[in-house]
Amino acid sequence: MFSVVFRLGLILAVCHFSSRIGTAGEISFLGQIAPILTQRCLGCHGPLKADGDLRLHTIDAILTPGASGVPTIRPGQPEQSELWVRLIAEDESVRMPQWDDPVSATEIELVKQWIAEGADFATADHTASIKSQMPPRIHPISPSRYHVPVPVNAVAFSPDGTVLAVGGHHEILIWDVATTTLLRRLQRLPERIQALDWTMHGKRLFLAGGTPGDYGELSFVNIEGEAPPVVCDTFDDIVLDVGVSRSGQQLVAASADRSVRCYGASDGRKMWRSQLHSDFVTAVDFSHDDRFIATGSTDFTIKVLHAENGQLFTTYNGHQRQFGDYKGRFAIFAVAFSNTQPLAFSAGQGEAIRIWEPEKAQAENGSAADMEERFSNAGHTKHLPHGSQRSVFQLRVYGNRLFAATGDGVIKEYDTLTLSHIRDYVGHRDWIFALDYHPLSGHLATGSYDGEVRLWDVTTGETIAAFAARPQ
Amino acid sequence: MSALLSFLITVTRVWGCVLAGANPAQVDETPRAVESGAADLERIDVYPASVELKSARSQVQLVVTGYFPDGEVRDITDVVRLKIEAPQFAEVVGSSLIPRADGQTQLKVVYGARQAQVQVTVSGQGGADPVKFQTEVLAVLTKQGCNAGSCHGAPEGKGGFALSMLAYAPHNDAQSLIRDGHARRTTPIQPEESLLLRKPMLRVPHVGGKRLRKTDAAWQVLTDWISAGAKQDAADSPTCVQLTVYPPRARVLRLPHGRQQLSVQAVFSDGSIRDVTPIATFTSTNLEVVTVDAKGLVTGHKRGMAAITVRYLSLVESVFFTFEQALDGFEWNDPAEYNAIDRLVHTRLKQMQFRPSQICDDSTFLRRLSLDLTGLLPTAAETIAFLADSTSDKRARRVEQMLQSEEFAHFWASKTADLMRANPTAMPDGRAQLFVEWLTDSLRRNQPFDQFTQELLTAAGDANSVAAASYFLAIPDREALAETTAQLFMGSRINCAKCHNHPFESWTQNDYYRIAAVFARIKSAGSILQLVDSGEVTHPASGAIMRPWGAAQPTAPPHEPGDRRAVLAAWLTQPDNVYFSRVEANRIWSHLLGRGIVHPVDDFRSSNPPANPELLDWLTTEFRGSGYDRKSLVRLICNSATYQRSAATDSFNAADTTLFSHYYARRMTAEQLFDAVGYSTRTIPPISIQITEIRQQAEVLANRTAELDLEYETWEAAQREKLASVECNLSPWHYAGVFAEPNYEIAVSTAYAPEQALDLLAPLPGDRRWTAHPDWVDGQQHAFPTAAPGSHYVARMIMAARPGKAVMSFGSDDGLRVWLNGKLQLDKPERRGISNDADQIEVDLVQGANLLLLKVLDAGGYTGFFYRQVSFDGHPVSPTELSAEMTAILRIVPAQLTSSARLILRNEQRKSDSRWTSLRQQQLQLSQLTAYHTQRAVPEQNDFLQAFGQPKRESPCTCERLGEPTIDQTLQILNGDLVWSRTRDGLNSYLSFTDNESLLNEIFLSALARLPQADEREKLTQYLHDHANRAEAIQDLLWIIINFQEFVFQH
Repeated sequence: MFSVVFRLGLILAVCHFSSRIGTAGEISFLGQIAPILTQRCLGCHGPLKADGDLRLHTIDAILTPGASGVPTIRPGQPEQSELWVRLIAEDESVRMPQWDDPVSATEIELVKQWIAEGADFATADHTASIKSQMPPRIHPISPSRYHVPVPVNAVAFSPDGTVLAVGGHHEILIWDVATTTLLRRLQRLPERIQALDWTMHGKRLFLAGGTPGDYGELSFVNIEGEAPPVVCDTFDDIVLDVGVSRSGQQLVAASADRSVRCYGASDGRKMWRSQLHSDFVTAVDFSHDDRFIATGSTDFTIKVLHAENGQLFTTYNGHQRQFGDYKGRFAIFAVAFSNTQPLAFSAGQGEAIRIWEPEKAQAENGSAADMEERFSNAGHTKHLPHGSQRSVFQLRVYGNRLFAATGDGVIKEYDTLTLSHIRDYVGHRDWIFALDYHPLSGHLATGSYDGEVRLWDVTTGETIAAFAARPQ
Repeated sequence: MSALLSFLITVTRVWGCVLAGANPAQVDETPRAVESGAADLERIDVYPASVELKSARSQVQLVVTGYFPDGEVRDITDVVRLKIEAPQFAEVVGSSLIPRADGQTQLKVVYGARQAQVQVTVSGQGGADPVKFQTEVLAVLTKQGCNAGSCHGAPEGKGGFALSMLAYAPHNDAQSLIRDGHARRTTPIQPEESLLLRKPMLRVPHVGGKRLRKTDAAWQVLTDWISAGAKQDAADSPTCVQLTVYPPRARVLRLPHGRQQLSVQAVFSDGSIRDVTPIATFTSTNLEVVTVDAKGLVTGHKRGMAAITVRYLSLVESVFFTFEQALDGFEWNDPAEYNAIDRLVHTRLKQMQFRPSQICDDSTFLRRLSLDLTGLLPTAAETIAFLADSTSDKRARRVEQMLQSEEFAHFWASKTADLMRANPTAMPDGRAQLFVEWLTDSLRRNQPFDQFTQELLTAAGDANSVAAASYFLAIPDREALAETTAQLFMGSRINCAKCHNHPFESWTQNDYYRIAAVFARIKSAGSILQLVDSGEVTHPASGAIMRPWGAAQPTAPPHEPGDRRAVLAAWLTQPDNVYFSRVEANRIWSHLLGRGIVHPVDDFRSSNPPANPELLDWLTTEFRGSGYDRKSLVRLICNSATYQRSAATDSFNAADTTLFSHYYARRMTAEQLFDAVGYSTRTIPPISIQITEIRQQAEVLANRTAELDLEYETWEAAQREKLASVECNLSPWHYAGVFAEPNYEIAVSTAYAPEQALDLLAPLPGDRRWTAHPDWVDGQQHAFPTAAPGSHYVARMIMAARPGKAVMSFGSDDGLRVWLNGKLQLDKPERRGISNDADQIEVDLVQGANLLLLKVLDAGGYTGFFYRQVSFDGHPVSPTELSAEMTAILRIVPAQLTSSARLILRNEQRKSDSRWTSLRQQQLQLSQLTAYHTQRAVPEQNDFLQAFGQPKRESPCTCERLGEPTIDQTLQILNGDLVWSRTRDGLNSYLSFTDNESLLNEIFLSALARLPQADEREKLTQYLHDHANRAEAIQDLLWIIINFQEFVFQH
């Protein structure tokens, strides 16, 4: 999650989304056919499963017949193409998707017409997954009212601290901080918003999110005017966090599809992509000097990458220890760097927040397999037990203030120098998933699973306001 | 007018009952299937008898049954016409009823000329009816297979999504589904977009494949639950307490009418009842015979029996289905019934159209009976006598004779010993023999099985005298004790429930730890099993202290005193216990018939139904009624025609493997075969000589024991008198071994276990144990058996008749520390060499037991100590023969002696009697000396025995004895060492037969309990004639016989 607000200085000129969509009049494979395959076929004939030895997740795979040996597509001959024949079969055991609702008549007609027209893949890449090449999804308008609470996964103060952006359902809700009135609804956005950040002048918002298990998106939207959101990139699973460099030059997205992707903040240019984690990447942040990026994952590791090229600097293993105190394997949900010194804070499952330094972590990463056992100690890592029964989902560090949002519904504040406990912010009745801190106003904003947003005064620890983040 | 009249008639009838002869109502629906044979129908029956639909989402599955004059019962649910009188109140969907609006109406069920009416009451339609998490969502997750052990129910889950196996931990499941994984699985604002639905529907890739369709009841349950906010239930939500399945327990269907709709109702803790048919889980125990679909529609495919198991949450019920099929040319041959067993077996055989085989001939019977009751082949002489006997009751008399034999007791004891870990590792120092002798004696005396069980389960004390205590000493921990005891006496394999609710049975984790709690208050130390008055078992998940199983009052506090095992034993052996007598009756049946009525014999569960329930019921009742008389049940079975049937089959019973239409031939057990090879080659003498001796020895010993019992009071009084004359009594030294530490200073400063708590009976860390050294006489230097640098500990108990001062004198190599009753008395840690009387101290002894502990430090080289007790209370100390333990017990007033203390005293009395100890020694040696492995307390383990599946006696499972044929077995029989040497050594004895006829007769009678047939005689005589070397020819002959299938098998 963004560690500090309004550090994005440069205005984004435009986000490139390389468009490979065909020209009007023809049927576009990526725009019209690929979504049908993705939604209805890839479950059984995709990267995870290959029923009948058939996969349809890349164009090369589509062009390779399955166990039957019958070609999936014969350009110009829908009646000879297994893809279409199986969609219209009357026998339920033959028809695809098998034992399921049939594909709609309109979609079947599209497939037929596309094959009849020559089954043109246009300029699409034959080896990359078709899902990754599909154009961004068109998102629906949000319901006028929420009939059930929507969990708050992201909150962000505007640079001047007067308004608060809150992630909603296919939208961002813009609230006035002083009156807690809803100012605006920015719509046609991904289903869940997991990360939000304002540009420095407060006119634009970066957002990341998506649909779990299915789709992720990184985009930005203007606060004023009616311009539609601009999509920077799409992902195979939801984007869980975004980090912005202290200089405002770089943007990094962490996704449940296990990828970490870096972009130039000014033009949305893709800089590098890293795929080192073996599970969801849940959290990302830049070091105080923009040298490193740390990415936390449910694979129990934190990868420290060189910010400039995404190469691995070291792996921090302090969340999976076999010996000594705090041993066990713990998923990581939050990573935050100090803004003044080379110090990282990380937390998730387990009893303690870990405090560590990338350089020292690298030095301790010896090759001897029994090293941890021989020196059964925590190395340089300091453990800060938080006393919460549940996980820590967010961390924010600014100066010597450290905030941790927990599943117990309590925000814990610590002093980063003395590691002493300053206070608990008590009031939420559900797991806290979102947290932001505005140093100038001394306000803290938090959001929980039950859809509640709370504003706090960090000088007193008192709640300023609490409201349900839903349109009235 | 006529419609109104018929309505008036029908409303006055009893709901849902039989309406023979009523006029068919005027209904206009077309039947949903062909009404075949409707005209013959005698009556119809509708379940449930009345329908109540109490909430918006309620529904009720109907089951309509037709009864035909020839006795056929047929499910006609899918062919009857169902009509709601007032359709505004309720609606028929398929064969279920769903509500529309509050009110009352009638459901008319019509089939040909028969009809019935059911009262339908609809209420609560205005109220909310939210989906319940624990009783609906979790049930459908189980139904769809999500939480199966191979999927998300695996300990680590799958793909980052973990559920508890079969939903045993609802709270964890709620967290997994609702908030874990960044709340990704449920989307209440857009329920159908939830990952929880899209994944199993394959809208997004799912490694587990397609698990959910929109038409599944589960889809609606999950969608409604998510839509209402994906919430957990209130804390006090009702739980399911009972499951009612219709048809109940069992149903017999006649193919081709093999379809049966099931209906499942759940009773909740608030008294409410709900039809849960759509969300219950159905599985078939035999897919060849019967299948069942997700809606509870059962389809039978062929003649046979199988169960449908219905699971709802942690409750499991089974319906046992029998599918009959008329076979062309089948005629019942009206076989004779010897006793009630045959009647019950025949009833089932006739129903399933299997024809029983003929009664076997006398030779076969004798060989079979001998092997079953004694484990041995009949001798040639016995066979000749039996075949020559022409009396009609000779078989029954033979059964009686064998039941009373010593061999019976030994052979049947070994069957039990196999399951109770009677091996020399688990029961060391000869205790395995003692234990098996105890089992044997129980059978010899024909001790009622309930008494046997109670004696076993409440045994305590030194296993050298209370042999049954070895049962507890041999089993490592209380969980294993719970599993073993349940498997042996309840026929239940509860081990699955250790970690999660049992997948096929309603054993829960609670039950498991409640049984384990029974064994929480025993402690083993060497050969002694002690009862202690504290110790609890906690539930691993909830941490709750478990109430021990069998406790009568459900609310009884777990801390109450008394032997918990006695409570369990009492619970087990009370007449209405559903496990105890059934399990043992089935075991005895299985020993004799080669297959349990419930099979395997230690896997009783509703999903593993008995092949012939009536038969098992009858045997159980008979066993209980006889006062749990094991021999009586054996007698009953052996005298039945069923037991005496030939193993030969015909086309009308060859396919039967479970209903006992013929005898199921089986390979002899390893030990039987070993003995049979030995006997039939005449390489081991007939058992009768040894066994007579064993029996006589047992009697002599029993007589001596009885004599000692008579003298006991006198003996105890004498001991007490002796004690009174002693002022200060020293136990032998006990040595704990060395706690090795090369650094002397560390050894000095470290307080090892003996210093922390001194208990001469308690085990020590590692493999250490306090060992008595009666040879370490006071006033001499004693070297330690292991001279290793570190801390050596020795300790002893000092019994003082009254408080007083004692003077003690020590020496050591190197340093020494001395504590008395935990208080440091002497501190000389410096290194030094040993000398007598190096330190002398005066200490205060308390009245009764005093514990003296010495820590002898060693820096290397020789290590040892010196001790001398100079005086007590100013008088010199003189040794006595009373042990300190004895002294301790004897100080207790007789009236307050516990039963285990009494046992120790009795044991001391016997041990002090040299005649008794030598008699027992002889007896143990005798039973171990016999060459017959079926008769030995602890059979040896050799290649031959192991090849034929001899169990190592390490588990309570009968499956430890392997029955599968292997190449090794074939090789052993063809040219293994044993067969080769036996045939070689045996020929000498057979050489004495000079004429071929008597030679062949003798060999055939010994090995096969019959005379050779004409063709066999002819061929083999020719063979003997053709071979000049008679010795070789005889060896060949013996080899041929051993390689007969007829020899290897019991048939």
